Amino acid sequence: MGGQVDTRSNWLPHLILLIGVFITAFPLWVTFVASTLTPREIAQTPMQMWPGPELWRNYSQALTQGSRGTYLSPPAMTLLFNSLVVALVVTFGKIVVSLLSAFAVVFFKFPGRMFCFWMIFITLMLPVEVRILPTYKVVTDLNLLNSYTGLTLPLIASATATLLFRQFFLTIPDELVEAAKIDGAGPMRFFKDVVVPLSRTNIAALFVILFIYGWNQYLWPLLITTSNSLDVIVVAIKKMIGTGAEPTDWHIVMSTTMLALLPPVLVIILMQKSFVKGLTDTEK
Amino acid sequence: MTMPTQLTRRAVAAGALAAAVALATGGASAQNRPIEIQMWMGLTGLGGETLVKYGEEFNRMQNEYKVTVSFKGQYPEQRAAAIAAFRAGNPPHIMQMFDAGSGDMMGAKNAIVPVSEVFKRAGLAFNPGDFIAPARGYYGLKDGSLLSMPFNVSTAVLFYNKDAFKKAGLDPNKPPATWPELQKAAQTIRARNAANCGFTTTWLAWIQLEQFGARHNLPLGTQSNGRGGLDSELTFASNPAFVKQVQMLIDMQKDKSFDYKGRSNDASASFQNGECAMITQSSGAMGAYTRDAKFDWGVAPLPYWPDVKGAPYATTVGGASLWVFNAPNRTQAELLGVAKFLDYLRSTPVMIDWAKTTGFLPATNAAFKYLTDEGYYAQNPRAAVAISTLVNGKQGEHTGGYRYGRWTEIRDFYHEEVEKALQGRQTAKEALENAQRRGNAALRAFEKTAVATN
Amino acid sequence: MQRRVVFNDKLLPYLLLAPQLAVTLVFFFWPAGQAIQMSVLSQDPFGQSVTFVGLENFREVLADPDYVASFWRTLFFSAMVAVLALVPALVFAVMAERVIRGAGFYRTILVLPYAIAPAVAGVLWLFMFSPSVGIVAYWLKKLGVDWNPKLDGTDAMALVILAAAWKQISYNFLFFLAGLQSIPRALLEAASIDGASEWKKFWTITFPLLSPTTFFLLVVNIVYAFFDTFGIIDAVTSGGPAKATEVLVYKVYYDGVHALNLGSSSAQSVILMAIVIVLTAIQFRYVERKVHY
Repeated sequence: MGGQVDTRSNWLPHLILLIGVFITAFPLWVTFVASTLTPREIAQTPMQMWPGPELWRNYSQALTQGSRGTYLSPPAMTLLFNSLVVALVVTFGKIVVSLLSAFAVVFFKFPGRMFCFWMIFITLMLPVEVRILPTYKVVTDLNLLNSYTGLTLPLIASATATLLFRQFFLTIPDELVEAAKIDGAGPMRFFKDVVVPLSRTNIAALFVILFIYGWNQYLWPLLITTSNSLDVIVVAIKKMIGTGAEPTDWHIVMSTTMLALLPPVLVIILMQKSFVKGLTDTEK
Repeated sequence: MTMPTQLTRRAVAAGALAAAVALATGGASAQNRPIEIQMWMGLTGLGGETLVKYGEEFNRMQNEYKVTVSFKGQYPEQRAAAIAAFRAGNPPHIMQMFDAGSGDMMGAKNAIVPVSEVFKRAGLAFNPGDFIAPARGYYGLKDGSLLSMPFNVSTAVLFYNKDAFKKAGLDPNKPPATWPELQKAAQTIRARNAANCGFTTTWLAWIQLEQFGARHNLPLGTQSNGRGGLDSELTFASNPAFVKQVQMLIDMQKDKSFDYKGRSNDASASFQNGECAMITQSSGAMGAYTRDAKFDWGVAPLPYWPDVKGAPYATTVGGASLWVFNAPNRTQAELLGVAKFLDYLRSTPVMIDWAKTTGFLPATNAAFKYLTDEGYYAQNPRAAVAISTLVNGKQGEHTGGYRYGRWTEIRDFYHEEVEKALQGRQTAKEALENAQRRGNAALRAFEKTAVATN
Repeated sequence: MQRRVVFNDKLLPYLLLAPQLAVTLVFFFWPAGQAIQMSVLSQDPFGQSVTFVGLENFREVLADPDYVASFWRTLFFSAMVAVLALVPALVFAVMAERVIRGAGFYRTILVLPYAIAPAVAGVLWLFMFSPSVGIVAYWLKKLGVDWNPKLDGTDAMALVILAAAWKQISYNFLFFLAGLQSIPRALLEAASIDGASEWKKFWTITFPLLSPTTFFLLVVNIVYAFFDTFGIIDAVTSGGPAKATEVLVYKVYYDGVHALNLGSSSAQSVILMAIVIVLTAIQFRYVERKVHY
């Protein structure tokens, strides 16, 4: 980056970036503060901008009891568990399924290869948002409503991950394949000993992106779970707000919201390098 | 054209899926376990907790059946889920459905078993006459039999904040009886700054259209409000009283003597936290206000326009009733369990406890009589208001409710159009005409697809 | 496209592809087929009477003023989200390029919203702007703004646009940053020697060289606004008030799941699929070029 920066432009970038930080962080700060207040303090206008003493109480109530207001939510512990299951199964499922199919498409020659490739590719054009009702119907017909299988399985097919692995596999030198063949190693051995280890950074990058994708799923779980014990945390938060017989328990909603955004935020912060790589790679 | 059987396709898909992943799904059931009865409810808060408790109590009383009462989302979401489950061949045994969904349920001939029929097949005595007349009329057929069992019965009333009334210099023991009086009280409250908003309403369509119609004995549409046939046309927009009511809300919104706080029950919180001094609301909110409101409040009958001929009439039934689903795999034993649980829910002790705990109205005459004799209403005048406007109010041709398919959607048409009018984007008359036009289109579509039971 | 050296196995590649193809067939192709089938049928919610109606559902949808209004609303919403998410992101990226101290801190904070679910982002903004408890709503009231997103469609639209844009800034920021870093230093230094101002350098060198990134992001942002904002809209406004925030995707959901109008919802799905195909085609045409570049 440019070594000599003149003094005039030195404070301006900082100022503008600080504005950016403010815009980004302010909603998060407000949420955090509200999660440490009593309902009465929240209802006070204007709400105070400094954390209160209720942090422990609100979070333990959210974690062990959940919201009692407009929606009989299960405790956030259950919600976090459901979200974690969905995020992890979707992430690993996608990675495994895509590794296998990219491996097949790149390292084998077989009739229908391009046809299969295009079939996978075309799924990019069918996001769940445009086929809400029919997919719901299919899941209903398969009797997968209200099950972890129904929550995760349909999300496991991913054109993006397959395309990414395919692109990467094409760069694996032919010599490695030849060496494996000379050693008499079968394709699956080659897959296990060469392809997967070489893909490690790609897998890590995808992990970050897919974990966030899985954790943040909304429309799909909203459609296919009617049992609140299977709700994921993102959907449950929405249900805690608004229409119902009682006023919204904002203190519980806000602490649950903090709990919901913590895992993906931590993943991004702790795996920033992989995250940036994952983001730029999957969009290429 | 009719659909080919779902089964073959389901089998094909299931096979494909099994090939995809071998995920074991549990669910092996032992032979002598109790028979499972699933009930879905749309109630939250106090009502939800209490209903779950009844399920548990029923399970403790016997060991043949195990009832699970679960919350599946607000009524519309729950209904969508139940229909999906029905199409998949596995609906809940019992579903609690709110008033507006009744028309759709009645249109689904093979999907439900009328509750009178359930008791008959189970060999249990059941007399529809045991239920309070307004509920019987709402959920019954012409021959007197009941399609669903009335359970959480409510009606619309006015709640008002006595502290705010005092602050505004109004008599806290003299709530407004008519809309002009209410308008004046709300303006006084605003002028003296006794509250941020004078008046608000929950359940806009239910109260300002449906209950309003009953209170003035005005029809929403032809064919006895749709009870006479599926070809009923909505006509409310041509009635000046409905227009006047919306116009009043528009006028009041301008100075915040009325403040619109959103659909369904969204406005409730703004009464409960003292922001709005008056609210037209379901009597079912009584329990919540008793527990949570930190000020002195009172209940009054739903206001009316004194210049409408014959007004006030009785209000009409709201709340929800219990529907029994039909499914190919249902056994006689399950049906018997369903009947027994329903029988338990309508028993006098449960009905009394329900009314006292939640503030809903007793659905049976016996429970009503018991509460009256016991002096409950004399001691709790606030609880007496709703039941007496419902039962003792003057009955008319149009006080018995309506029966329309797709009514939840039509309610939303009304919400949308009135919201537009409140925003100043159209007049009251235009709002009602648009809601009516869109409502009639939905009714015609429903007529095309529905298989009527009566 | 194909490697020179490959393994030979008749069955194995099919086995390897089987899981992905099975899921794809069952959960993508089958529903897509169902959407098309259901779009030419008229049926009651319980599925007890089903009649073939040809293109009637499409005719009704396209003639419905609500649908047309929703279409224009979606375009407006997407354009606003794209502009509000792209411009600040570009400004922040250009500034982030210029600082050394604190660069890591700025970047970490600015990318955080990417991790937050759209629905949760919606809840954060809903809370700040809630007329009864929100701090920003309070400030607005102090400023004399009559803020009521429950009733005022413009307020509600502003709220969902802000929440949607806020979340997308992170993504755009990262891509702009990557784009800026790939601009040859020498060009900028040469311009500096010629005495060009920062402003001039930006408009004559940086911005034109960023245009492929900008165009790519524009398409991505529009796709995002079209489809991925469902959670924001559902959590903040549920499409209201008076449909003021009902975009196409939300309408498919509402008409299908809440109004149980299966024929219409399916017809809308089919129309949306056509839109996605066009958008994806644009995106990929462009991406092909970017790969060669």
